[in-house]
Amino acid sequence: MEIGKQYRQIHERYANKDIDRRTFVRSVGLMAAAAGLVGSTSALFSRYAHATQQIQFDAFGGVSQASFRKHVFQPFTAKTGIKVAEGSYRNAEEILTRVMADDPGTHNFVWTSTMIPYRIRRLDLGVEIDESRVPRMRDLVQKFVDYHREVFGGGKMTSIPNCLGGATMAYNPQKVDKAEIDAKGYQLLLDPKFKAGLIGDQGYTTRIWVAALQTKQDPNNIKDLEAIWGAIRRSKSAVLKYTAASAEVIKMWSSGEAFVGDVWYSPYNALRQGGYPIAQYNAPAGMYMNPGGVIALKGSPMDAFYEMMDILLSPPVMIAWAIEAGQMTLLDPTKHPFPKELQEIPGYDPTGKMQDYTAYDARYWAENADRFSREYRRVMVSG
Amino acid sequence: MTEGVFLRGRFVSLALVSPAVVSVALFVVLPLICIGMYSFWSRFPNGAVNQTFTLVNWHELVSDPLYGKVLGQTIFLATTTTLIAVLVGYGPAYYLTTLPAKQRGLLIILLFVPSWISYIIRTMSWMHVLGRNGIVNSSLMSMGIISEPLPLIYNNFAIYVGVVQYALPIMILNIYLGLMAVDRNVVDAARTLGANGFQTFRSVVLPLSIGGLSAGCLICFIWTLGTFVTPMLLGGPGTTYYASMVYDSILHHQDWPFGSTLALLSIMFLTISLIAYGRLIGLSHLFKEKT
Repeated sequence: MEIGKQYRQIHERYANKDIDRRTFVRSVGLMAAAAGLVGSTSALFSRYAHATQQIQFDAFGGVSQASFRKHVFQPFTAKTGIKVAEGSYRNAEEILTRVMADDPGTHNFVWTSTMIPYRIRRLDLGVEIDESRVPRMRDLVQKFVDYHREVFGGGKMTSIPNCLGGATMAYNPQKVDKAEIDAKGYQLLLDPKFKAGLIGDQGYTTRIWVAALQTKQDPNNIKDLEAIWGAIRRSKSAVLKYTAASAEVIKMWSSGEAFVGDVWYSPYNALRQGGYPIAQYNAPAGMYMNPGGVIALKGSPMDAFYEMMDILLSPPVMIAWAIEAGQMTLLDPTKHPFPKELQEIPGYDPTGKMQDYTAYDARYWAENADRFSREYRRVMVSG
Repeated sequence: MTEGVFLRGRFVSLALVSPAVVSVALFVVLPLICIGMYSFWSRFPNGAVNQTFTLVNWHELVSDPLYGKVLGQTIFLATTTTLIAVLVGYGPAYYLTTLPAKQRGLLIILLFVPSWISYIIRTMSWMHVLGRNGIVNSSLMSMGIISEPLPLIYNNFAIYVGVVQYALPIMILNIYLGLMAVDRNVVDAARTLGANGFQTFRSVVLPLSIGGLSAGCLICFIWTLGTFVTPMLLGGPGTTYYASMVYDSILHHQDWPFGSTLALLSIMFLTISLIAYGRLIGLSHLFKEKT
């Protein structure tokens, strides 16, 4: 058996308290001696000997990570004595490459969303979660707990849901009539009349999703692709700019250059908090959302994971984290009423049922990533 | 004895050159090999890389005219902006050579002051200048010259402006270095022999400063060919350039194999450009100035 894998297993057993510390250390010693005999390096093992002194938590950086630090890591360290080393990443490739390239146990817990939890499971890098050790999951919106289990975990729980990301159709109420938005819905994003201030996210997923809503199709089960490309071509000639970053959206909206478009929750919230004129179109159905959560990677100390999740999922922490991060919590508002501050963040549904929102189906989008992305590129370049 | 000295000299030479060789091997050759390997792999539907040899990426690149079209657009952008940078930059570079050393040094520092600011922020600042409510449109409207804001941004015009601004300092510096290498006595001799200012420039100064000028052109061309931030921030829908396509393939579409194939084609094109440059002008201009 490959020495790293052997090590991961023995450490996992120790982290799960299947073996005691003495047995673990003895096993480590024997394996180190064996590794030395066959010319391997025993330096690899030092990480495991100290693993429970510190864990590595990777997230997207910025305000959300700062909120984790304040509301989760600090109480976690105070309670367990385990330090949290923080890492940040920007996209799936970055974190997956790091996880696969580094020794097992280097990265422990990852806060993530969209396709990443699905890919982590498919690459067999994650750990199945013992739900009986996360009792606070009962306080979450059930729809998202089921989503994490089915979509990300393929029937098993491999991630702990905590927040909701997504895109909304936003408009400046001083420049766009609400009645017109309500009448036209997503079709308004194809109206050349608004070209002077119409923006949209440039990612192929968002564009195809919006095009699906415009052509009255299920975004997670598109049947008529030609109609999708047709809608994207129309969008391309109607839009002023497809944006690549939140900073761009904030810049354009705050300067008055943009006044209508599909906008991610995070810049929407930043603009709202900054006092800029922005409102959200309450679509009857189909609004894009992707629930985020925390994953434990193989080789991680699971006791520490459950301890941290217990802190993260406690209702006051969930609410405080969400307000500071500017992201909707997945706490069930019917069980734990939200303060006004939180109710203004996009994605709030007082019923807790989230009927008007459609969750991004990572399975469908992963299976179609190639043909969607390549054809999208063609349409963008050639029209 | 002689052999010993020779061997020692050879050892010293090897020792001196080895850091450069190791650096090039580690930071240029090895990544290139990796990119090359990726281009012959594919990806699974879940985004993971399938490390089985395939020509599917190369087949797509060659068989689909889309990529050639985008590369052509990008070469046009790089060529045009380089020429604009030459036209805009030659005057200031020439002016620098006429100044006393102290003032010249100060102006060269000022030339590079903007590059102390992040390139992204510099590019985004064009939004304040060219935007609907930017300085240009506001000024023209307040003067009554236009009644509606001009579409100056989120199109190719804005990309050209942004790229020229990015390339200009290095172009000016290269032309300036080329001009500084021109022997003033030769210029004076031309004037003494009856050549007017323009004749002197055309027949003496320009040919003798061509080294700096061509080096500036080459650097600007390579830079602009690889630019993706400017089209991303200042471009509009449909303004796709080659580097943006590589960026999108890898970061948005999570398609490393195809992104690597695109990148490799760009590297091949640049290598051919460098060889052509070496044949036509000579690479020695990049490394030393003629005196």
